Amino acid sequence: MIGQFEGWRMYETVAEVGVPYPTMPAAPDIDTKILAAPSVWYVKELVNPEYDETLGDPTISSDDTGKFFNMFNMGNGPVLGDFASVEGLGFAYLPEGTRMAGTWYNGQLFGMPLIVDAGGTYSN
Amino acid sequence: MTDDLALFETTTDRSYPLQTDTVAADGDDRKFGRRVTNISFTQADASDLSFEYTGETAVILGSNGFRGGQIVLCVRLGHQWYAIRPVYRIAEMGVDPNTGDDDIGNAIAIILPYTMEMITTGDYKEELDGLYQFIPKHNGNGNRGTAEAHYCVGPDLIRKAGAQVVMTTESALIGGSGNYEYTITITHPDITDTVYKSTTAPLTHVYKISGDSTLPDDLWWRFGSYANMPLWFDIESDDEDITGLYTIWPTYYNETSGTWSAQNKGYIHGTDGVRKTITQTAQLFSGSPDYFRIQITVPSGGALRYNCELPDWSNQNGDTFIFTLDTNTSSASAPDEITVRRPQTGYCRTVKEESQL
Repeated sequence: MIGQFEGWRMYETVAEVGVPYPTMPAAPDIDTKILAAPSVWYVKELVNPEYDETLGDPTISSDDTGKFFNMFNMGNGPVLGDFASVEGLGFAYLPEGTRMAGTWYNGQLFGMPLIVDAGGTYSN
Repeated sequence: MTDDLALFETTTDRSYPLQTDTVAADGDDRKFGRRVTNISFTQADASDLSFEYTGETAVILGSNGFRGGQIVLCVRLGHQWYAIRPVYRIAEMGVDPNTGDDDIGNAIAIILPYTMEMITTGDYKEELDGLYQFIPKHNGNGNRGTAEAHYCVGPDLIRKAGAQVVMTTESALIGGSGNYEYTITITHPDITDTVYKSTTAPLTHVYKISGDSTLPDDLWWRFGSYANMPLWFDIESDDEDITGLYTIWPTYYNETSGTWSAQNKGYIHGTDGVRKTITQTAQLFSGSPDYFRIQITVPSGGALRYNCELPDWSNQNGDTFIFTLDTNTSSASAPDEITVRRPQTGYCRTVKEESQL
């Protein structure tokens, strides 16, 4: 494992030019929201992320690199609701602007959503 | 760059240099984390989960959704650690009443008793003396109401095997106080099994119910926070009242005033090793940005004041550092210097944020 997942960087989900951002699945139950969400998201790369040290202020500033990629979301994202009741690996709907930690592996970009600044929290 | 992913145990405070009161309120976006390593568990039952603390602490963004004591996978982007997802939950000592897991009980106690000091008396049982830190057991799904201390740290700062100490929680509330009852069982070949229970709130003591007469009647402990290791020092004086081994328990860091403080809890250990109740207070605080001060009131009047310049202070495990006498307004004699000791554990070591880069 050591050495394979190197160079973690911050990314942010964005709408692809000319393509509307995926809308949150309308199903009211949380399981459906998770399962119906896509696993590949269009993201832009950010550098120099800095967090406002003011406690409770979720503002993260960063510099835009102008680089865009498709990222495979391999983690559970911020879900509005009781995430703990979901078994196995779920794919969450990621609101536009969700910050991701991403790494390149075998020519593909994989990432996991960060919880901060995402509007949702894990339960339990 | 292989340190970009790591596991942290979420905490609500950070030892700098003692314990802080920076408990994230609801809605705040960060908690602190204690980096852990060497996690292992049996595949059949994760109640044997064990891990070690590396001594590194960090601010974890996005960890506000996790309860204290949870193991969280984190990634470092630039200078900052971010929480990604929970790995393990370890802190709870009861069971959520909503789970219906009725073989354990129906209470949930999120606070985690953490540190306990025990000093025995006589009969060459000093190897049992020291600070015991509890690591909770967990079954990976619900909770087991037990925690164990795997070793203790003696007043000489040496880590040693000590006694086997197991803590169990009872689900009953103590008089509707919001606190829960704990039972601590101490076993060692040199003593008969000894049982302590918490009987009052707040739970700063546990009281001996049965067992060995050479163990103290009650034990001091600290719980519910994660960085609160004490400091020790000895005072030798012609005044018997102030002579003994002082244990200074950290209290809180006041972010507004920028002061740290710690104080004793109404007892010292006399030269015979017996804990005795005292009326004087011994306080440690940051008297100015440049030095720390220990101030001991003397029952017959006056006070001793010792200072330690900031460059001489240390946050490192097992370190000792010197406080020199500043003023003595009492009639008691006082040593020119006192040596303050930190326990040799992973809990009290603090790494500054900039040192983690």
